[in-house]
Amino acid sequence: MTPASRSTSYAWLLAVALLALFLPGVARAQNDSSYSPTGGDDAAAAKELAMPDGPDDVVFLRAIPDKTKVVVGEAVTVSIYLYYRVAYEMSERSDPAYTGFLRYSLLTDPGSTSPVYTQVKSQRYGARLVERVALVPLRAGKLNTGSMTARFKGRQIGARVLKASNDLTIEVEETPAAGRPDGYAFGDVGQFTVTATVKPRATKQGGSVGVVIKIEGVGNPPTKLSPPPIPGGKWLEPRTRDALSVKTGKIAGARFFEYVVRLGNAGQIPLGKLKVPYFDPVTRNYVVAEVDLGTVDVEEVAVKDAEIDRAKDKNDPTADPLRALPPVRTTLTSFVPEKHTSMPLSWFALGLFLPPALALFILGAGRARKAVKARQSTEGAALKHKLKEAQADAQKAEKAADARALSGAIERMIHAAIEIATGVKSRALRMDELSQLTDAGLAGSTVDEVKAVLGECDVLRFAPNVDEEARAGLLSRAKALTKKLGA
Amino acid sequence: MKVCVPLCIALLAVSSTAAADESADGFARASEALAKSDSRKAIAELEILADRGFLHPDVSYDRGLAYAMRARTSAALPGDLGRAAAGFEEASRLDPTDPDAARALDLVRSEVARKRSRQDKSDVIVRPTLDRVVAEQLSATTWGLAAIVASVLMSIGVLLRSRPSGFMHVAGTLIAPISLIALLGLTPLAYFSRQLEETTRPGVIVVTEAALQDENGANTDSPAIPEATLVELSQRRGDNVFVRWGSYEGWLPHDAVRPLLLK
Repeated sequence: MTPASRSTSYAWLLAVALLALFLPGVARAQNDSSYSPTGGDDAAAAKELAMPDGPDDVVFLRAIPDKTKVVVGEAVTVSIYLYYRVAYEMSERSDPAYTGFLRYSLLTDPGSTSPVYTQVKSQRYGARLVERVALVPLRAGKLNTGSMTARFKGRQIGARVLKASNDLTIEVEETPAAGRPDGYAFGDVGQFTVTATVKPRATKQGGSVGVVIKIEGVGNPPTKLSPPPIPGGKWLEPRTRDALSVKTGKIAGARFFEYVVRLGNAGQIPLGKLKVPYFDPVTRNYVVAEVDLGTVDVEEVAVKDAEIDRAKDKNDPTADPLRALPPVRTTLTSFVPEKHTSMPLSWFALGLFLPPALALFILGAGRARKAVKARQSTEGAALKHKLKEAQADAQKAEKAADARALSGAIERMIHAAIEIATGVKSRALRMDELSQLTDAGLAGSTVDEVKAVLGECDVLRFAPNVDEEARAGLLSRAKALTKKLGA
Repeated sequence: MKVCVPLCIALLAVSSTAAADESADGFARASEALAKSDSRKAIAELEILADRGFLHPDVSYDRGLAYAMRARTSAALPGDLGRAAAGFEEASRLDPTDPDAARALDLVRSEVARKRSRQDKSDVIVRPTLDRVVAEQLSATTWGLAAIVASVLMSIGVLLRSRPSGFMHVAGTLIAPISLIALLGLTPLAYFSRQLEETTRPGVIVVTEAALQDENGANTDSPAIPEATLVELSQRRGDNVFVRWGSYEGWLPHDAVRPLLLK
């Protein structure tokens, strides 16, 4: 190793050693939980926590205030220590009620505090910080913090033994009336500085600018401000934002009030000076912090019609149209509510579809009737033609003295005439069944005549010799019968 | 049993008479309070009558007047002008021949317009859509009857047209197609009008202004509906009611609209 590299190594070692000495101090300074009333000096803390005439208990809780007499709004720091001289287990811890106080916890991690060894009645006790709070009294009078309770278990303690800390009484006074400035609100106690930011510094008439007021310091900052009046302007309700924390056991930080200011007048508008009165507990005097908000350039804009209307309405009370409302009615006139009878959907559908259905039915029925008629007329013509043919054949057979042909022709004539008259195809009926024709509407005598003529035709067909007179008589009877049948 | 039926009828008659007397007393108390410019008491009495479903144009008119009276005092609440308009609108619809109700309604609406103009708010003129305009010209029953008449005429026309020739045939040839066209127009109109009557009812906006929202609760692109505007209400879902304003549709909280009591 060269001398140069050796000296470098020594330098590193020295730096590490210095860091090792320095870092715990930094860590302790940064960690509020290890803060002791005497600023970290264990010997001094032990002396302060010593109790020449303390209790005989092996474990007990003790609450210690940093002061017992304050003004409204002035913070009191209360530390609660657990004294012990035997091994213990703590459970069911319950914090004091702190009624009448605003509480800020100063101990972020109560489990990480290290004990201080002290003397109680000449016996060695460990004292461990279990709670530290900053209490801001909200009203005047004697306010009690309440007691912290917890249960302890141990060989020399017993099982679930309840222990309670002493109940502290804090005497709270109002801030002195003498010299109290205007606008001071009880509770505004501390040491503060006030700054303001106005953005933008130029706007148009009727426009707005943002004003952020920052109140920074130690203590309980004001919760409400009284901004200065602005001619033609209006401060809207502010949005409040806190950046409060605990520094060296005290409440400190900043409170921001973010205002929007509406400016109605044109020109260089002064926003005025904002005054923040508070009570300084150190000097026991009132202080009024001031900040000048400066001016804003407001550019003039033309007056809107709506503004003219507003101005007119303001000056003219008769502009209210509701002034002309008609008078009150004092008696009930006769009134019959109109009956809302709506047509059922089924009726509507029926009314809609029934007429066309009826019309279609009527049309259809008419057409069917015509078709039947046409068919009937066609069939009737064919039968008449058949009858005429049969008559002609009968005439020819009679002239030719052909009895067989004559009887056949007469039979065809009779059957055709019957079918024309009744619609019954009588050729398919036997002789004894012809009486059924009476059911088809023929008279009994006509049916008898039909039977007689057809019977004679049978006779004529099979008779070997028939005289001319008998043939002519049969033909004339057949013709008369067809006429009778209406064919 | 024979005794029970007349007894029940008698009890019903007595109770309905008592209810009518009570309503008349309530109206008398309300009008007395109005005469003394005690709008608060008058509103309380008239709202009780409305809750009971007591339907009378004079009650609706006085209710509108009570709200209008309160709107002019320092005790005015947001939406009072809308409630006044609802009362007058109701009175005007129950008795279309009432000139006072129509005039009072115009005055209230002009006051709303005046207030909005003073706040630099410009209102969009929204007119009802054509389907609503046509359907609301007549009642659903009248449209239905017209459709039935068209159907009958068409049927007669078809029958006449089936005549082989002559005046009847010519008349049928003219009537049948004309009435068919009328039927094709009137049937959907009658059905639509019927649907409108059954599923919708009129209402009036009773907040300073209302913004229509979609199904997800986001504002639609419709302009804000001013107070005292007449809108069409349909289905209700939870605390919201579906509102149609001209061609704009969307949901509104049900307490932003007052439905009119018409039947």
